[in-house]
Amino acid sequence: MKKRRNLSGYFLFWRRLLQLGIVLLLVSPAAGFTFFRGNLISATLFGFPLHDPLATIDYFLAGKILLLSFLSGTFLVLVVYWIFGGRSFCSWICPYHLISEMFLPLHRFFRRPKPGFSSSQRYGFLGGFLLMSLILSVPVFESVSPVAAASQLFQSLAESGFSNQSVTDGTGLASILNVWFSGSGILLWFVLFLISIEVFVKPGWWCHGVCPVGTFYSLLGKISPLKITIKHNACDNCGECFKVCPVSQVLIAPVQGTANRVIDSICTQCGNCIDSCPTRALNFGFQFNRQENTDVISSH
Amino acid sequence: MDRRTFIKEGLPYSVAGIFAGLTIIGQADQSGNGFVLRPPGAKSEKHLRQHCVGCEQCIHACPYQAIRSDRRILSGNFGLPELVVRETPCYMCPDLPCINSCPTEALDHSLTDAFRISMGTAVLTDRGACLSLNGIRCEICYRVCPLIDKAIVLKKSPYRETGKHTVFEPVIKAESCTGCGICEYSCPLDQPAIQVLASQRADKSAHYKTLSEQG
Ligand code: SF4
Ligand code: SF4
Ligand code: SF4
Ligand code: SF4
Ligand code: SF4
Repeated sequence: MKKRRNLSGYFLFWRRLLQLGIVLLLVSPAAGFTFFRGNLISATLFGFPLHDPLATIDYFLAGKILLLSFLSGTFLVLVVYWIFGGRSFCSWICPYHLISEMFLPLHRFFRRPKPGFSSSQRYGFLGGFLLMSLILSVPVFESVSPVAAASQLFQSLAESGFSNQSVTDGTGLASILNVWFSGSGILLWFVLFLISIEVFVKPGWWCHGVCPVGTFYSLLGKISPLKITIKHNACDNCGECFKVCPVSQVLIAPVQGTANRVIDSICTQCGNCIDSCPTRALNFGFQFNRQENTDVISSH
Repeated sequence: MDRRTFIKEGLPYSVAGIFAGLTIIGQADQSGNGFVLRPPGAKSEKHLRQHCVGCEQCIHACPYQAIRSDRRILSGNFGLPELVVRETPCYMCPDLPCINSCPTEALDHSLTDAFRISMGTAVLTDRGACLSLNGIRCEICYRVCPLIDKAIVLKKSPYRETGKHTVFEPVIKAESCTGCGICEYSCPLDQPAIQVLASQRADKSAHYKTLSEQG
């Protein structure tokens, strides 16, 4: 009998650690630290400017402006996510994705089928948001972004925890209620609204079906060297990876043997599949020679 | 397409439509609602809305935590930075960390002199309640003003009720007032008698003069 042993949560551990670190980074200004300010739209870390590339495009379209000072901070972010496979932002950094993942057990409880995601819908939303910014001269996505809403939600929860200045009676519960029902409470309802769509309508609906940030990074992922690779002789088609992959459609080609890596860049580089694979057929792999991909997936 | 798939596929689009609708409503509501003060260097509501990406860097840069996010979702200004000076005024930092932290053109980077901030204009909105106008020498707003004797002066006049006292009326010079709100913050009344009105509402020529030239 073949010895079955998977990595049981190795990448998940590091991913949760980084996600937690990002949340701590986001709330650090509320705790009085000054090395970081901003959110995932645009931030300054140890004096280095960092700009979300999509926010940069959106701002240039809305502001009808080309700010050269933006480009270095945007370039840095682009390079990092290019190296790490594009949508690694989604599963390793994004605080909304983190909240959304926390509700995954509910999907299992409701026995929701694995959803499929159409790329034309995602490109439609990306284009639509950019077009709205251009026409309305307002960075539209940045003002409705759940990515920013989730980070501001963590920030305002932290503020109510760290300071009792904004609440009159200062007790913990009262300050939390204050956050929930006035002012920043709208963030909570907004995030919960999207989560409820994900729970009741379609798991991963926002992240993999709508979010223009995810779509942008998936486009970047198309040219990224980092991919999930598969050793076909090790894979015994058990289907474990399909169970844990948020966008399981991407695993069909590699598992069926028509590709030697996950080609579809909607893959979030989460590593769930690697963790779950009992035969360790899957792994992260850098591949700079893109010709090889196209040879193997000729039937794709 | 059956009803179920219709709801499933259509919901994302209706939500997107709602987002779009809110933005359009916000576009129409250019006047703003109430007195909303924007951080130093914000040129106008329209300009701020066009250029602010909601990154919160100005919010985190302010050492007094005077700036916060606008949370009025229906105003169309959701996420823009605002000040509520009755809670925390702007202390007019000489190095203007708020403007310097802004990565976009939302806050005017050519503004380098804190005394030239122009977020709004203080107006003695409740003359009936102001202690000074009632013959008591409060004058707190005058004392705390970073531009004392420039933005606020005391105008002396006989107190009609007694015929013996002098009234020291705080009078705001709109040209010099930065709208920092330290006066509004410091007014000891439950409802401040002096309030900063957003620049476009506290019409510097007409509205302000009619108020200060009464009585
Ligand atoms: S293929 Fe693997 S790494 Fe990519 S999203 Fe699915 S589980 Fe995550
Ligand atoms: S000048 Fe100073 S106190 Fe005033 S808003 Fe800017 S950072 Fe805050
Ligand atoms: S720093 Fe500038 S872009 Fe960022 S929230 Fe403040 S005003 Fe808006
Ligand atoms: S807002 Fe008040 S304290 Fe500030 S400059 Fe104007 S008059 Fe002075
Ligand atoms: S602080 Fe208030 S009550 Fe006192 S003089 Fe100024 S406006 Fe009047």
